[in-house]
Amino acid sequence: MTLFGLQWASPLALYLLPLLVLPWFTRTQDKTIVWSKFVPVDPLSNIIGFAFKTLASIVLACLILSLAGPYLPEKKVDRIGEGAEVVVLVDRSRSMDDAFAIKGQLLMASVGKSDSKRRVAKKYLQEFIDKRPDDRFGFVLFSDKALDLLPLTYNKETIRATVDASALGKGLSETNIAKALIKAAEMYQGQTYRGSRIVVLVSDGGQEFTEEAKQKIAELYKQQNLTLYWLYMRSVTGMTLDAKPGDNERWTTTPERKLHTFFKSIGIPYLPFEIGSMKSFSEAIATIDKQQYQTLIVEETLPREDKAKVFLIIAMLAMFLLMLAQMYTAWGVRKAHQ
Amino acid sequence: MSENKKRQDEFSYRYPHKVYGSLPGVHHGKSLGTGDSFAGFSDLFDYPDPRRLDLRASIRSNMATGRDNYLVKRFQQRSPITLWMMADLSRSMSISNVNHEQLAKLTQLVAHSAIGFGDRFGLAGFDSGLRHDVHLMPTRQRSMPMLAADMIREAGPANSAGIDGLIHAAHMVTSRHAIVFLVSDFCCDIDVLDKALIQLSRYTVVPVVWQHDDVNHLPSYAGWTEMCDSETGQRRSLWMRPSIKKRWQQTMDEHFDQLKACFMRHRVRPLFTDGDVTGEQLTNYFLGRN
Repeated sequence: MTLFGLQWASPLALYLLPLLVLPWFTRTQDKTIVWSKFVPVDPLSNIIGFAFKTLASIVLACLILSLAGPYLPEKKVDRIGEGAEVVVLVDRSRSMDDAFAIKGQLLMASVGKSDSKRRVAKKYLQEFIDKRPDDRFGFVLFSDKALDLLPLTYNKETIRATVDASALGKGLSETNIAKALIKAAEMYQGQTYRGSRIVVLVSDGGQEFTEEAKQKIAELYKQQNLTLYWLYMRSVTGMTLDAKPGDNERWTTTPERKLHTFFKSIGIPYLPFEIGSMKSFSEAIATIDKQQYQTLIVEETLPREDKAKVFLIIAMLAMFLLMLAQMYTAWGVRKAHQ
Repeated sequence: MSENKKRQDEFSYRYPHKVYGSLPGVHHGKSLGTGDSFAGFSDLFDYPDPRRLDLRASIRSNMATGRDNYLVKRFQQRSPITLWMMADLSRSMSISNVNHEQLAKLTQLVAHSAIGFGDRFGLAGFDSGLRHDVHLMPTRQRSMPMLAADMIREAGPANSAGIDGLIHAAHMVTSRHAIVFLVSDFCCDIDVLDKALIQLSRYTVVPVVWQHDDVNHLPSYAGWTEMCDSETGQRRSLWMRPSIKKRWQQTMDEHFDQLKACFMRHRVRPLFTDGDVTGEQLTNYFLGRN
């Protein structure tokens, strides 16, 4: 049922509304006095009396209306925002539990403590999410299997909770980036194109893909018009993704470099970040943040909104006034009887 | 309390004027008969009462007039009066401390004292009209105090609002000499009272003003107060605050000042009481001591 532009959960309660007249008819506090001629005539009292009765009626009305359960139904609103659609791929492999950006001996580092790569990644991802209110996020955690923890959603609470949860526990042994990348691309499949689409890959290692996987990834990413960011949290100091003259010989064949070469070869917008310190991590995040501001249509679902609270608050305020008056009255009566 | 049960409280009073009547009583009378106040001489031939012979006066008279008469002393006889109780039975007289029970007690006290003194007692109840169920013609019956009190105790509530019966009740007082106890809270128009007092001007009127507690006039000093008039049932509501209380007090004081002025005009001294009227109080009143 619709009334005052609100939906009513139990409109039957509205049949109680005639009770509003009660305060105008009950006279429970009547005191018999000897002669009413002694009682002064006071127009202000009439106004106050009228106000009290109105307040009492308002209280009743609000209580009855709140009983009737007013609510605004759930609705979807399209609005234009700025941002992007982001799928975050986080490596869940065991190496991510290692401490991040340590100088010196790797073996001395703590494992799975607050300075682990996963924790650090979590912290900066949270920041990133907070900075971008209009973005739509998806979240994939991967080791040897890709877990699409969160399909694309606008719900910030859910995203934050998912990112939080991703940093719990210990990592698994295997890493399968290819599967994760395909999963991420699949998340965009079947979605209407709203704005720029980003895949943020957070990992600390690379992997060589099979030809089949490479082909599929290239095809999917082009088709879905995706932008790829790779936050490479490197564990070996000194190694860069791009080959440089004077590089260590062994580095040329590392999976990281191979992966980097592959990404470059697909022909999609791609940007790697080699992250060696906290600072560079935040810079990387800031860069992504800056780059990806496009107008996009944001579909927002406004949840069913319970409006009973408003009525209850009004009733409470009115009741509070009445209570004050009542206390003053009680004091007055007590004083008169002393 | 136990003593009260044993012996009915009573008061003594004097009627200020001389009473004319053939019956013997206690108040100063005007008619000649057996008594203690001298009222002149008379011829023994006209009043053959040799016990009252005054030889000295007779000789003096005979020597002066040369006649041969015997004089007897004449005295004024003491005579009875009537005590009327005019009882206000209107609705405002049945609120908390002012109630029919108290009224009945007072009635019994007055009736007991009157009949014990050899006077007669009459009762006239009134509210908006004359109350025929609370009415006694003057009588000297010994059982009357209890009967009169019960009559008031059993009196039903007033049929309608007002105190207009006061004038009718005043008309009922037809005795030649009477002290009229007018018992009311006097929360009424002074005009009505004025008329009644004019009607009763022949008599000695003793207004017993029963004062209500302030709470029954105004039940609250502060806040929201809903009231209903005891007489008319008219409803009033007020947001009580100091200024209103002041105005109320003023109105009330004005009314009672007017009431006192009215009594003063009619040369009547009121007896103010807040409930119990004792014999001592009334005795003091008649002695002019309160």
